[in-house]
Amino acid sequence: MKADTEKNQYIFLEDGGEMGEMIKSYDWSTSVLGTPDKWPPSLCTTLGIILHSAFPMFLFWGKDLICFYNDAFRPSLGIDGKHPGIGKKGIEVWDDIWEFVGPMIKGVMETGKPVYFEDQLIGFYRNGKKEDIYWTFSYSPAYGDNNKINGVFVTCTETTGKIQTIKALGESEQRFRTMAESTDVLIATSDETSNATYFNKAWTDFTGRSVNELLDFGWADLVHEEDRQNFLDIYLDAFKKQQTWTGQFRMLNKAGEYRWLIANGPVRKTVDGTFAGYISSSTDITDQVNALKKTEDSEQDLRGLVLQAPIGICVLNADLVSEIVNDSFIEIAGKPYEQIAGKYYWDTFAEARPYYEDALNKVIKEGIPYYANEVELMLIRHGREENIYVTFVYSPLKDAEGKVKKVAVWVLENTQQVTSRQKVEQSELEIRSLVEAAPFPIGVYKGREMRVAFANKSIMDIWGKGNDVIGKLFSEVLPELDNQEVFKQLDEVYRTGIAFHIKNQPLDLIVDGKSHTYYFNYSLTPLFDAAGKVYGVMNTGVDLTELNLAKRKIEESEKNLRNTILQAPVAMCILRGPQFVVEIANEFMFELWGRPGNDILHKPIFEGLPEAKEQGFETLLEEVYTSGKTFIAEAVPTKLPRKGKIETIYINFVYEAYHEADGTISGILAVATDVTAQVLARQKIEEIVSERTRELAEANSSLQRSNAELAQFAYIASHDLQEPLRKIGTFSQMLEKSLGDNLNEQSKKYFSKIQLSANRMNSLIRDVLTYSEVTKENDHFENVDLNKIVDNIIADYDLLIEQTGASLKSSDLPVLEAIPLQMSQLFGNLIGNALKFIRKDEKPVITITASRLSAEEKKGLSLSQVTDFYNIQFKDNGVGFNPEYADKIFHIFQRLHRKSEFEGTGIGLAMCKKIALNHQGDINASGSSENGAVFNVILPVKQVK
Amino acid sequence: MGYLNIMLIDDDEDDQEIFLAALDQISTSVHCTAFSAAREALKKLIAGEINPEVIFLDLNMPVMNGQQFLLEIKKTEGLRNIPVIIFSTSSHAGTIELTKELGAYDFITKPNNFEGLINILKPIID
Repeated sequence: MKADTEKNQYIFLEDGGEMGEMIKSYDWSTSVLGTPDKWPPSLCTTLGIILHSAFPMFLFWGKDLICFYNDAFRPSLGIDGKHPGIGKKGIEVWDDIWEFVGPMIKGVMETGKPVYFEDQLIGFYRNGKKEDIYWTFSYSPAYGDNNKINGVFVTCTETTGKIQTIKALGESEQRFRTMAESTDVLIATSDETSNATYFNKAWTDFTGRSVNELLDFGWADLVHEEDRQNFLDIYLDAFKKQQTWTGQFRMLNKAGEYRWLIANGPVRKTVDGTFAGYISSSTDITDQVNALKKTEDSEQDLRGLVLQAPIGICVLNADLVSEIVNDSFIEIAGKPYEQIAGKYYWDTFAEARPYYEDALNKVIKEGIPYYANEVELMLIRHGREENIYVTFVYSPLKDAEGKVKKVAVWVLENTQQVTSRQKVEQSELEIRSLVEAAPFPIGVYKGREMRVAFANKSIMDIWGKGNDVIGKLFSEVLPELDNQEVFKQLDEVYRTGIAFHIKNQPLDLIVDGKSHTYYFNYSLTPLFDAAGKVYGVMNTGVDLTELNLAKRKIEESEKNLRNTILQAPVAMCILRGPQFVVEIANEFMFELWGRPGNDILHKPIFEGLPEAKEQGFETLLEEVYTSGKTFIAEAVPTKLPRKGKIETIYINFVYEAYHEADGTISGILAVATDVTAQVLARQKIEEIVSERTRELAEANSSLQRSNAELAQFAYIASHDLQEPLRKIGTFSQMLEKSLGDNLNEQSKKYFSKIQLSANRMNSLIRDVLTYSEVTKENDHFENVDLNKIVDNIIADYDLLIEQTGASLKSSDLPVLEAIPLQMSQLFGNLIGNALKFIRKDEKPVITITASRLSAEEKKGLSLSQVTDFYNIQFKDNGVGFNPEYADKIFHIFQRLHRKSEFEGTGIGLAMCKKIALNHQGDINASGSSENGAVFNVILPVKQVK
Repeated sequence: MGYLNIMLIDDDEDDQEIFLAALDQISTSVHCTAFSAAREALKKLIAGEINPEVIFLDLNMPVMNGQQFLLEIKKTEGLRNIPVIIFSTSSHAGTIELTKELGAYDFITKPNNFEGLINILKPIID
């Protein structure tokens, strides 16, 4: 019972994962909390919840804020950091961030108000260094048994990965901004809706307006009235065709003067090549334009102006021979003055001739200027082929009749400007490919109308609307989300600038024309522009649909289980919940219960089957339900109804915890077999066996009793009978003596017969006594040298040997484990017999030899193979005996000779046999009346226990 | 050995008679005091009323048996040196060994005939 109680106390640690084991093995004896058996129920309950949760959880408990956490939390501690922190004080584990954590815990414990943080940076020491870690977490009060706050319960998720991705995106954008911000060129971007999304510092410096003011065509009114409509036409027309545009216009700067700008808007594309708007660059060319204007005013001043102009100028005559060329032009051309001035233009720029000869001819012929903006051109400069970017104009100079007399070539090198912009584009491309390749869905929607500005492959796959989504409204792409809250959520984020997160949200999407329910964790994060204004929303998420499908599979397998139960050939059922409601059971089970299904199904088992109450099943079910450990029992006697009467039946059964997908136990699966017939049969057999055993025991004890009686008899016979016998002998002799000479011969003969009879009876009694003492257990075995035994016997029979002239030879005899006295009796009897049973006038010759028995011989005599045996053979030349009686001679009181012939009591050989048997050996005899007798005494070297 | 002052302790009056008859046959000068109870004999010995040179002791006696008597004698200063010869029906080797260990001087198994007894006692008395 004690063991059970202890087990119960630790149940909250069972299956608690690695941390559960850690708590179990932790030495709590020195902790302020004491050992777990002394922990308050509130702590045990709280720990039970934590250890069995798959969500990261942490607990600070007690005055010292002792730390506990579960396996899900464990990875957040990293390697070589705070783990293992179980059982330590909070301030010890979190020493490096206690300044942050400490006051928060104190606050929660004092006020009882929970604290919630999202994506909070709390860096601490782990994985061998201090790491920046982002957390979304809550600190809530944990109540003790006294209903007072006795700890702080922490649930948390590490969001470092998410934050890092967002940061990477932001950094990339930042890089682009930095580059754009540091150039003098006016750079702006616009989206695919023609709205400007960004202006660099050069723009705000130039216009004196903030970025916010410039957005939404806030720059358009600064364009000179005369140029405005023209430029807007070019821009909007190019936008419609999604083509690159070029324009030249005057714009009011912050000083209040109009400056000429030449602007280029190459198309911005997403990675997959779809149109994403423009990235424009504009350069102030007022000085150049003014210079040009002045030359037009006065051809006279032309040369001088041209020569000083910072823009490359080359004036060609109608035959395309250079008349004027300035230093800037020479610099851009990268060729010496002599190679240009006075030379045919296409001789000088032979490498460009195939591309621009027609255009130049057309200018001369039609009088319309030709513009080339930021075109890539291969020029041989300083003897080397170089790819440069130039913007140039073939500008016709007409005479009074309007005939083209000359052509001015205006050139501005844009190489640096273009390459820097390309770098920016490249960097943006890189970010895009990064995001594009991200395995989780990312989408960016701009403007309050939520136009899809970006969507990676992952999110488009989820949407299932193909790849042509950029530029469309989110509500156009996913009209099915109407009334599914998402639009509201997006608008809310855009409006408030507060991020929105939701978990395992079902959304019905139409994929391939069919509506399916998908499950997502998703976040809607506001995107802020440089001015801190929300310009869009970033949508990230995780598709959990497969997870949910897995859940459904579990449900399906549950269904299979139900079918299995119904079709199983043994009794099976599921008992659901803490009341053990019979959820399903098959016919075999109802048969076993002895009640029809309707009585029991869907009822708590002990309500539907009250007969089963208080037979111990309640405790067993509770135990399995709480511990999750399978219980197996065999041949349990159970009282159940059978045909209206309660009968004891015997069942084998198994209780197994029924686990939900999240590991919690929701019921018990029971399987049972009725083994009453087997048990009854076994009991019958056991009864028979026990009856037999009792009979045997009785027989045994009666045997022991009769043995004891026999021993008692032997004692009385030997001792008490000796007394009167001795007196008969003595007094008869005293009588004979006192009669003295008055005795006649006849009387003397009678006295002698009385004496002889008394002596003989005395011998008999003594021999019986000795015989009865052979099997007494108090004699102990020791190593006996048989050679010494023989020596002693010879000494005892000294006189007789001398009288009979006997010769006795014994060869090397072994040392055996034996009772010394009995060996003396054995040898004494056999040698004595050999000396006694001798024909008159013959001298006894006795030979004693010993030989070890082979394995076969032992087998033949049914002897133990564990030890060695010796055959000690006694051979004599005496009267021998008829081989017919070879067995009989070992029976007590069996005599083969008349008393008058040879003396003896008939006990000697019986005793030899008894001694041999007492030593786990045996004795046999062979011999004829002619050749004397041979006795074989078989004795083991060691006594086998 | 020539003991002339003998004590016999034997509860069997027949045996006392046989013993005294045998002594009579051997010598006329020998003096023997026979006791049927060992306890009484011990009392007299301790009181110094009797000072035998040798004690013949039967083993199997009521109240105080021969072994107990032997033990008491050997415990008592002044008595322990009197030789005690066991005079018993028993010829059991274990019994003989035990009494020798207790300090018996000799062990005589009561013989079956009168002549035998005389032959045994003769060398002790003469």
